[in-house]
Amino acid sequence: MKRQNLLIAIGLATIYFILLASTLDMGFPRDESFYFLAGEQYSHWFDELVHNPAKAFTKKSVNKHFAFNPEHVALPKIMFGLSWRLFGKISKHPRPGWYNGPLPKPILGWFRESTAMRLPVLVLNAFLIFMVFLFGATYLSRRAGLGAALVMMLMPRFFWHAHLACFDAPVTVMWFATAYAFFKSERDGWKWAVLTGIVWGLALSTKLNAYFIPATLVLYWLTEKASEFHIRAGDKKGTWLSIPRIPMAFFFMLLLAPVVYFALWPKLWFDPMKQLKWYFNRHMHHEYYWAYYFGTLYVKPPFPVAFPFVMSAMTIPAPSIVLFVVGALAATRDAMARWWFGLSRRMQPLIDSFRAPRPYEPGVYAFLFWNMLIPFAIIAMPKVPIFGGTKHWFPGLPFLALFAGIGFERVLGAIESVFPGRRMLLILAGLMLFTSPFVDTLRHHADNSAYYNNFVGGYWAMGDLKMEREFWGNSSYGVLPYLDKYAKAGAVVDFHDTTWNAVQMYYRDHLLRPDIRAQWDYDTADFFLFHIHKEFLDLEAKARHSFGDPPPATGVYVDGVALLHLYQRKGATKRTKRVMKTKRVIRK
Amino acid sequence: MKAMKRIILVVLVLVPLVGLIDAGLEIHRVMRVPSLNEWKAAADTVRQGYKKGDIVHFRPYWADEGERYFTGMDIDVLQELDWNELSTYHRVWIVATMSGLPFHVPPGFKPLMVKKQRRIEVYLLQPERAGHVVFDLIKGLHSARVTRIYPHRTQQCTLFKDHHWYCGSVHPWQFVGELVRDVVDGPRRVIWAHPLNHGNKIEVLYPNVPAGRQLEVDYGWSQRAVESDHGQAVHFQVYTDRKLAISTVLRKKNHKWNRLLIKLNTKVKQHRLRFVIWTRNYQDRQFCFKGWVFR
Repeated sequence: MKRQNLLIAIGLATIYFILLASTLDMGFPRDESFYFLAGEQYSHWFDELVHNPAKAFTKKSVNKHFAFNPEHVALPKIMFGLSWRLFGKISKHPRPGWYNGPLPKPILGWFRESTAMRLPVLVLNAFLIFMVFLFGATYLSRRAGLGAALVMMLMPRFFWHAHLACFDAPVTVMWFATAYAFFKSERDGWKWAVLTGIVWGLALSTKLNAYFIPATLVLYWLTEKASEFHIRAGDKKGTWLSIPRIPMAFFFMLLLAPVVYFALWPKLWFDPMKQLKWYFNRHMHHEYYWAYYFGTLYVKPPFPVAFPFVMSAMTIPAPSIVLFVVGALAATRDAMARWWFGLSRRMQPLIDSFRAPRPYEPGVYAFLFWNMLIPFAIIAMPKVPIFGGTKHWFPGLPFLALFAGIGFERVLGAIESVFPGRRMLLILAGLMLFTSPFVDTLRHHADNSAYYNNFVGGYWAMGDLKMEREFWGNSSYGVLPYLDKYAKAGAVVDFHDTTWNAVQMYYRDHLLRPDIRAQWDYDTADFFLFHIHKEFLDLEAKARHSFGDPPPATGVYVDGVALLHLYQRKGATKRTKRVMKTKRVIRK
Repeated sequence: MKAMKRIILVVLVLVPLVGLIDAGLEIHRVMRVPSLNEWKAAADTVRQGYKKGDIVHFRPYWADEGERYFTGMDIDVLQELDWNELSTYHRVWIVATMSGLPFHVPPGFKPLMVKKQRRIEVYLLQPERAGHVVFDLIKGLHSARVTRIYPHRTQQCTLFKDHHWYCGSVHPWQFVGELVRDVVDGPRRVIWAHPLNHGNKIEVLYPNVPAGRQLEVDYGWSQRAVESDHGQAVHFQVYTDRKLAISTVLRKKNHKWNRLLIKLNTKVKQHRLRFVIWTRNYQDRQFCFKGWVFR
């Protein structure tokens, strides 16, 4: 059984990896472009480590190579940088933009530079699917595990983020890994407790969110063991509190995680307290960005408490949401069955209709509940910045997917009980539930950050419900073929929300003609790429006026909704302008 | 309870249908997205009948993939249909598609032409009060006199550049002029009139406005002003023919696009319209207005 589960987990992870790897044709958002640069810079420290190990560990060397992007921990960027050096097809380019001296020597040179940077994230996310299935299959049921893995694999927004050399998908993996190891440590012994400590250290070294893991696990422990807390009075020692056994993993988390954290963040090596103080201060006083939500542009607190919940309901495919609701109801029923039974025996048949086919692992519901809720609850707090679309509560999604897996199991169970022995019906039900999310995930994969589910109008929700459209400057990727084909030699392009680092990577990956110049000044540009955000509408009006009030020459459109407008000045093209169908627009 | 159990079982069995409904909704939506050829055909239809003074509005506002074919035409920049504003044009072309369909002609407009193509419908509407606009405050801004009024002096704004009145040299935001700005629910063509500080006043005077029956004035904050907590309410006064017609205060929390309707003296041959704007604290108070005199 275990072996079979392992094989299925490996199969699902492999499929996910292939899906991710075959859909890497997507733009570089702002944050990823900064991490490209950071990864590259950090990788040079390893050159020093190889050639002059003694010097590599000096404060001067560390400060030199790890100076950029100190507001985030280093591990993901180290991974991106090392993968880039190992796999990147680093070749001479007229507009190199390499940091820190001459062209680095490629080692294997297998992939495009951006692909090489993204590779560790792809592997990590495939591992997440492996873990989600295995957790579900072990502690719930194989069907629940399968349902959970499929729900997780076919979330369009997460799928998009799962490609990026950023931290949000990796920290989701690390959160799940830590929680999984903790749950296992309570059942399978001290080795898992040790592993929990180490993995939490890795999670902390991935992103700030990991600081909330201990609180989540403590909440779970308190809920699970509530009945074992006693106040004892009257014996010789007086009144005292009796508590249940404290999980061993907590001790290892305290002991090992700081060591891992310290080891993997070189900025801590010389003045840890100063760096940590700065780090926490930076994030405690993070600036507020815009969030466009049902026609209101939120720029400052209080932000709507419902934001993460409503956005999730709108941006996870509807069949998965329905499965989650069924799973959550079933879990609620299971968890409260005893109480309901006490309330009324007449309710028993109703309770039974939701009953799990076999009892799940004790404590699993509370475990899933707290790990799902806390990432959402953090962002729901009115003063927490809610920029970044839906990515900041991603760590809760695998647990949400596991609830959906429970729902999937109950649906299949119901079909079996109504139509016994009809296995084809089960396969059909699975196809019905996952075909639409599959299509949604792959159809506009490069623009999945703008995905809204079909029950709220799909991509039209961006316009009709006045919601945020694209995410941070990546849409320019969609008009690079247009520029490549039509821009006159030496044309100047104002890339608007796309960063210089992203443009550099377009050059390096040969996605942008080297003679095209990037310049963030629409008054002197031949082309202006306007990324449609509510907060920038004034800018579009100004730029359009500067170009002589033409309509957009082309753009990036998903189901008829624009994510980006391309304006071009008269004489900007090398031949008579012809309207080109924008890439990826699905036509019948 | 058995019945209840049966109902729950049936509901659970029906859950996979959600996937079918979901797929159906998606197919239905994608099927309604017009092709570029359809957009081109719609643009050709409009171009054939388009006259100066017409305006084209895409419905829904975000359906602008075909806008590239409407070059040389006056395109409505507003996100939401503002029928009142559209009624100031001679004729209105509505290019409706996707979630903008079905389209119903509103009261006060007469359909002159309807062309239903496959996934795009083109409507030509004539406002009942077409041709009733005798003066547009934006278009007539060049004829206005803009003055800054301080306690002991006044300053005439004499530099008129790019349809903006500057008091002294060109300034990035201290001027009175025509702009397209994100106001309330999307970009609008407005008169930008950023007030002065400390209660000093800006006066926009239209000395020779053709006679009409009614003055309509719209006013409100720019999106940036809506976002900001800074500054104080702006006082807005409208004088018609040397008399104070309306004095109003635009509070910081008023995020609407407000409308004033003012009856004009029909016995005069020309009107003298004066708009006075002032605030105690001008920080981020980006005040915008526009208006028309109707026959």
